[in-house]
Amino acid sequence: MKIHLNRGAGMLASVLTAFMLLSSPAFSDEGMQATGVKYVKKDQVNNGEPIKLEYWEWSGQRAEYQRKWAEAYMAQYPNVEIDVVLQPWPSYWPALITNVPAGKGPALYHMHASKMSEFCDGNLMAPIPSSVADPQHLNEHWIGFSEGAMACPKSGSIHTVPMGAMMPLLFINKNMWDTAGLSDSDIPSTWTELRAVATKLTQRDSRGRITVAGLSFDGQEWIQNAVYQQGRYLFDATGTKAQVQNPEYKAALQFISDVVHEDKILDQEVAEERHEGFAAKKSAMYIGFSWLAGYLSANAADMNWIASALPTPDGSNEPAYGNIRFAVEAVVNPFASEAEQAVAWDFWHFNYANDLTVLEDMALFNGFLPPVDTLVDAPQVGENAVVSVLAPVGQYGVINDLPNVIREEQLELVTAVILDPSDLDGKLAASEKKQNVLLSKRDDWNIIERNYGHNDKMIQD
Amino acid sequence: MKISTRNRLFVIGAPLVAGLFFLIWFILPIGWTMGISFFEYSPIASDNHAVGFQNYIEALFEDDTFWKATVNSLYFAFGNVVLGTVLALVIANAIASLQVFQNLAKFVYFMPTLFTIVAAAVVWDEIFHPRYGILNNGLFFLTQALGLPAFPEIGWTTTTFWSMPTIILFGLWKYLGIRIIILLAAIEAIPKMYYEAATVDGVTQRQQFRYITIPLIKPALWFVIITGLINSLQVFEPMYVITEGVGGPLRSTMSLVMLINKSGFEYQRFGYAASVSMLLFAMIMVLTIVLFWIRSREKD
Repeated sequence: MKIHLNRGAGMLASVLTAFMLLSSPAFSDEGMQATGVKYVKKDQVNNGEPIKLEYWEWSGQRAEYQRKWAEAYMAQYPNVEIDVVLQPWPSYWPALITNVPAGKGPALYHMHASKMSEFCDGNLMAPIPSSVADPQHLNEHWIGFSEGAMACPKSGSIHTVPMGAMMPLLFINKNMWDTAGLSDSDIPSTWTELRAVATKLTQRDSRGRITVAGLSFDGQEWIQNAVYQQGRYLFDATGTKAQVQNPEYKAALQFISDVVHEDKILDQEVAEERHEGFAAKKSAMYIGFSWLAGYLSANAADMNWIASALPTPDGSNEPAYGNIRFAVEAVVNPFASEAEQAVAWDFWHFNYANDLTVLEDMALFNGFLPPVDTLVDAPQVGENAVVSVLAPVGQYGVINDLPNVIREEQLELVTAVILDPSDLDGKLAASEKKQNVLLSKRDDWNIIERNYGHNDKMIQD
Repeated sequence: MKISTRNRLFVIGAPLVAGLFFLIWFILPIGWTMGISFFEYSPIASDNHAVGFQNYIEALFEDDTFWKATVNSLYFAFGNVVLGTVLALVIANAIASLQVFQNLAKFVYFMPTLFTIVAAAVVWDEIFHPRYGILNNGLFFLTQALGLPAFPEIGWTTTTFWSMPTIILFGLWKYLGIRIIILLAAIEAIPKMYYEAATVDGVTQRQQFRYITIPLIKPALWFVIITGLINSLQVFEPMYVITEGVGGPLRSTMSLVMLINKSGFEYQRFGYAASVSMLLFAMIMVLTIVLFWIRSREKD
């Protein structure tokens, strides 16, 4: 499916957007140097010659504000036309892999952290030129750079900036919460309390089947967060071997087994639907990354929900609260023509140097902690229902984005436990073996979990 | 006899065009696939290097997903070919004997073939969803109404036991129509006088089916079986759309082509994907040769 920006229909919006942008503080000198290099409006780009760029995206939610960016830019430079093209996720990556090296791909495309290794290896992303971002500034003021999350594993080159940091939260359907007679003081902070309130929130039909699960989550994310919360890393110190056969991993898996088979507050039908099930009111609580806030705004606008901190085994954020993941922004296609690349980088600079864009569109709209330290204390952060919960626990987040192959293997493990709770040790052993085979196929996985700020509190091996 | 230049050109050109087409669209891709199966290869990787038979060794001796996918593909092929052929034969024979509404019956059975697979999968989910599906709930209320023990909630698509039979059923529903049309055409081509003579001699309908219909439609039957086997072993869409690309639960519906797709396009391991493709190619070739051999013995 392709959605093209309709320039004609958006004329009025473009003029208004441009007016607002130019008259807002964001366009002042202070508001246009988030990348460490101030964006200065040029007399013209591409020598004033007409030029058309494609900007690929898979998320309809993000495309909304990307269109707004494009309109603002096109209002500045009328000779430029930027098409925000939506491609569905399953075909997005094959289409990029085949089009980009052939020089036929988009000039800009949204990147995903889990694909960084492969795209770095294939040189499918142009490195950020110092004319649009100062590497030292990014290193000192943006999250992810000093931790090694943004650099290509082998070359160390950088190609994009993070949208912000996302962390897991407990999302609660407030209407169901109130109906169950629960109050704010019942909001759980430990795993035990979580199971107790989930039991109260579970609803069944006359046949005893779960109609509303008390709790749901993405099993892979639960494993990762729960293992970190107990002080265990997922990989050994070399980052090449998975650590699965240990008490912490087993406890994380046991929790899933308990809520499904002992408490019976979750079943496979709801578990499979994950965040969509929560949005469809099939679960009363959902543990998910903070981006869910944006999803709920777009897809369950009528739902009355609140977000609270993720419960931990004993209610403490030490040794760790959970996983931090980065969603990353657009990259420039190195195979695009020189003219396209030049305009693409200018557009890139125009967007990411803008404090307001970074703060409100990239971070808060998506439920992320702002990626730049100078924006963390902005008043909008405190006013945001989701991000304000994350701010105090941010330092206890373990930065690591897992390779896809490991994510899928963890999901298989969780499904195996949901279907059959027996022989956890055997399942852990089989999964560890499988994960290590998968890890052995590449030597450039960007496993950076041990760069965690409170590494000293974690189990060392 | 003198052959005109125009005819000579045609005689040379026609096979040349066909050969060129075959070369470009079949021989070269197969050769390319075979070639990269000996490499750790991705079109976007900077370090594509030869690994000898390592990809084949990995598939055959290290990757249990390969064997799971192989068993799944054979399971699907067996169910789809055996049940599909028997059902298609029975239905085609029944339609052939209809005096009225024959075209309507053909249309009804052929209709699922016309649906896009995604739309069909949505309908299928409405039927087979364990919690909200028509099948489980319908059977529950039926058993209740009849005073029988309540029909349990069966995880048609969510349990390892039922997921493949459900996919096979979906495949049958979706692809049966084309087989029925092929067999029906063969049945209708049988001269009526054979049946008339048999009826005069007191041969029953069942005997006519066994001793007249089946022997005379054998070429079509073999065609349905062989193409059904090849298509079944290459199955991808039903599993992909019903399980949303996962092949679950626990890879119980992951076919070999799904594994190829996942290895190549998700994991960027095109060399490994190519080796699985070659193994699938070999498997299909061996089974097809076996079927042709059985058929040739039967002819003799």
